[in-house]
Amino acid sequence: MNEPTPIELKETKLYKNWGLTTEEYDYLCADVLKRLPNYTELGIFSVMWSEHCSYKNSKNVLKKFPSSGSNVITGAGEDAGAIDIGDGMAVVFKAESHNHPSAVEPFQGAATGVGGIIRDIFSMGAEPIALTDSLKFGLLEDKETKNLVSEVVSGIGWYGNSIGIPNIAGEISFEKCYKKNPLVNAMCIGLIKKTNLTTSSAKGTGNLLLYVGSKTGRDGIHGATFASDEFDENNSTQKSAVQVGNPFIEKLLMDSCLDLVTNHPNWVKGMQDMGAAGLISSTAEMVSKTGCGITLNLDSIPQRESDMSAYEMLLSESQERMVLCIEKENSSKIIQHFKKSGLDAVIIGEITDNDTYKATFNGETVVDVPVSGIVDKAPRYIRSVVESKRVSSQPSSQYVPEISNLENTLINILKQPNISDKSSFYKTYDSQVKSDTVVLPGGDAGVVRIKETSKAIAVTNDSNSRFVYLDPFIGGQILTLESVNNLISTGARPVGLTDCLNFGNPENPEIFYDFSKSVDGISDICTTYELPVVSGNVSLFNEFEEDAIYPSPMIGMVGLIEDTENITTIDFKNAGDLIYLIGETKDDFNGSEIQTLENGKIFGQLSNLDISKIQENQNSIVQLIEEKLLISCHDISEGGLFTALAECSFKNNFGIDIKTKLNSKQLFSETSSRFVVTVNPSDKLIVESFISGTYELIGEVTDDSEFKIQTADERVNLNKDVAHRSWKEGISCQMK
Amino acid sequence: MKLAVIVFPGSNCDKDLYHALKITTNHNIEFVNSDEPNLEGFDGVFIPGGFSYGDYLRSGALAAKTPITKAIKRLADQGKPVLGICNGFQILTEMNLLPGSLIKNDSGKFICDTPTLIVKNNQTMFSNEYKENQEIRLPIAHGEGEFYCDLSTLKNLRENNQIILQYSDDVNGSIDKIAGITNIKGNVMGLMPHPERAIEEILGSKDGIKLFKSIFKSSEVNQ
Amino acid sequence: MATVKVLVNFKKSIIDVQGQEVEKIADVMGFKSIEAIRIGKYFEIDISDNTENKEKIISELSEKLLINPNLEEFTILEER
Repeated sequence: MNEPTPIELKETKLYKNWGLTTEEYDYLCADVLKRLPNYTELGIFSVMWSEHCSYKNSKNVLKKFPSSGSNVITGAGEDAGAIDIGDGMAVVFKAESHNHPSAVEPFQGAATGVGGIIRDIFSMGAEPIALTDSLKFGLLEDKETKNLVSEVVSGIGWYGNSIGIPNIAGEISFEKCYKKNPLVNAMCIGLIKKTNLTTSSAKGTGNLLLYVGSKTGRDGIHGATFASDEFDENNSTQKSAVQVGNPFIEKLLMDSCLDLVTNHPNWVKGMQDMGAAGLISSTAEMVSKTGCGITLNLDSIPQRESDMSAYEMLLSESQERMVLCIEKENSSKIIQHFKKSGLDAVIIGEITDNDTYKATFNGETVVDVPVSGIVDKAPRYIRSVVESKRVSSQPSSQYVPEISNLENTLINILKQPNISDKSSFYKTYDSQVKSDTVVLPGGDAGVVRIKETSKAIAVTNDSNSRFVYLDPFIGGQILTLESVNNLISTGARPVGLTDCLNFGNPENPEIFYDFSKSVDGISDICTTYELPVVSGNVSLFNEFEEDAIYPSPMIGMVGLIEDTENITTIDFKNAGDLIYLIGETKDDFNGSEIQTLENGKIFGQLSNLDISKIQENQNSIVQLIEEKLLISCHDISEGGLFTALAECSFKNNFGIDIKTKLNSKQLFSETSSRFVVTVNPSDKLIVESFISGTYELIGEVTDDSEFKIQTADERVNLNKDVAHRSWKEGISCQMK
Repeated sequence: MKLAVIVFPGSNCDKDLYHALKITTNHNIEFVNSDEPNLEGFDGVFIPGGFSYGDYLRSGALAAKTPITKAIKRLADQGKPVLGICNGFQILTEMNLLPGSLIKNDSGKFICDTPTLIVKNNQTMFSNEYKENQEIRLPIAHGEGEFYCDLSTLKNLRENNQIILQYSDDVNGSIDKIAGITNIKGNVMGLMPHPERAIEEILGSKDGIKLFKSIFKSSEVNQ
Repeated sequence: MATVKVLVNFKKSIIDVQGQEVEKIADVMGFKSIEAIRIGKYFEIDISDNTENKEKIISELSEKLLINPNLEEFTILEER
């Protein structure tokens, strides 16, 4: 193919197709290069200056996240964040979105999303120990959506199951706004001896760059810019951006890299995976952190297809590839190490001492640009912010549910797709491989123990976007608290978090308002709880023909359990145990499941949170668990108290006998940060002495076949099996 | 005794199996790579679960052609214990050390769960620590775990008491709800459930311990 | 009734991860002359004899159902 000349590129404005604006192109020519870029160089800048790689729209907002803390080893800037958990160990984690690739090619899009996040963890030298995911789809009304759901779930399962990393927690929800813009956010958690942590930077003049893994093909070219563009109906050209995953090769690559880092920590000077924007992105980022430069010989790149151009090789998003920075003297031993596993391992370039990114191909220089131009000089935008009318126009009054038949409402709430049983999805994921999973999916948080210690790691993913939609600030607070609650009810102390920030077009000031405000809400809670945000990912432009998704930040929070004896699950365990409701229940129905059930939509302002009362409730839970006084503990969220009680009862098939001062409507209130716990009757007095805030003894666990519920205004007896079936079949019926 | 845990490219339960053996026995345990043509000096072979060679072509098919398999066959011929778990079971059928095949679950989906199983025959070197018809719980995690064989093979399996484990409910469409079988001689066993994931209370079940204990008890008797 | 055979293969630009591994093991087994193996899917489709535009219908079926157009392409082999 004849590539257009620099003049032709300028005249035809081809850069516009690649996502650069005319202003950005002019800035590139005038200020960064001081000449016109050639075809390959223009390709590089258009992907590296995309939102996905440069965070040009979001960086100013992301600065607001608290990212430091005494336990933080590495924060933002590395492939993943690392947090000290004592005993010389660190936990390493990150979440990443793969929304657009999954919309186009759901199976491979979701699978390669998992593959990518796993590489981010082992490129730090850490052994991946768990996966989680947060998925959002449109309503299960049409064949397309059902197919999308089933393909995404299969793709996640295929990759994780094959490579052998347990998928221990996650969430899946359904809302109209995600019909054309599904959200596929995956998180990986790794464990490492602190001294083995590997940096993603490269330095040392004369050091070599080693390419390891699969050969490079034409897959996924311009995937990164494609992730930063709105969708339109004519996305057939976007389909060429699909990558295909190979978990088998990734397993070999992972094991070889970890083996090298563990047994020869000094041999690896830097390691980075090739993710979005492939070779150019990983190599440029490696040296931009150190002020060094690179000379790359593209003829040496292992190629899967013939006649690839420089442009294609630099931008290809072929999967399962890594770049290592190594010293010359060790190169042959390291190459041998990878060849033993049948992996391609080739020296492709060298570190230089100046700020130049240079690439040669067929004896010619095809790229010669400043590294700082690619990374640091990317445009920055301070987007305007206008409070969205959607938020300001919400009615201030609380919605009042109209419950004419309590029994029916109880059953119907269990059938709601966002409430009902998700096991038909998560049981297709291997949650137990590695023989460390203590709490399986379906609880508040997934837990894996750390062998040969008394410790365990708990993980939760949370993203209730309904609240964020009604009020981005309070919504951001609520979902962060939800993560905290999920961890402490499992017996864990939260230690840090990652995020995926999924929003629409940031050039729309109302959408940018949502983005900025929800980050404020999340940061507010993080600051209060001293929780660092150590990694994360931004996915903007989640729009289809200008129909934006709900503002959807997703939190992936990690907790440390010092003593595995403290691990607590949501399930009721003995008939006769007393059931307590911890925390005050208010009339919080705006944005709730009951409001959706009764109106098909959500509306209304959210009440301000009383953080000190919330902390009081949480402290009670932490103390009770440490004193080993709780038999079970469940955080109350979507659906409210009744839903929580039902979820606690189902697994071990218990009945309940409830008598509460709350009215029937309040069974569905979603006041944040409340808990349902059970205790041994003989511990009643001591338990009550430990609870400092509002609580109510609401009943007991029974062997009966009924859920007996007496509220302030009425009494119902619900057949337990009918309730269980309604919950169990809520989704599986809709998927048929 | 010296025991080998075979590692194929793509095995992912090798470390779990090693860990389980460490807990249940004092014998020497070594990882052996699949490109090794020789198992001299070993007294037992354990083939772990996973996705050997990505399960490409057919699950277990490519692993069954690697150099180690000839050595495994020699050991099996000598009457030494050979245990294949999950992908290990699939590999043993592809090697023709065990009859039948494992095909895609009838649901078409991967299943991860902890079903109840019944010990149908407790008179083997893999099951003698269990009671006959004892109900046990072991985790399963497979996409291709439906046991299939023709009717005459099934008849033989029944007549020779080669069916060791059955699912209590139909979980994956297996003929006769078969979860684990041995060869006629009784020294080669394959099973889809993961006993190595059920050896510690903290992980939810200890029912897998007896399977390993049975092997070592038998071999001690033999020695 | 006529039987139409359709072959579905990965597009040349898509990596065939399975074929690649099968080829490697063939090499280990000593099939040294084998250079590459690609794995596809094979369909036999019965279609009623009095159908007009059989080929067009089969093409449409292949495009809309049998292949994943992002990754695969099809060839109609023959009609019997």
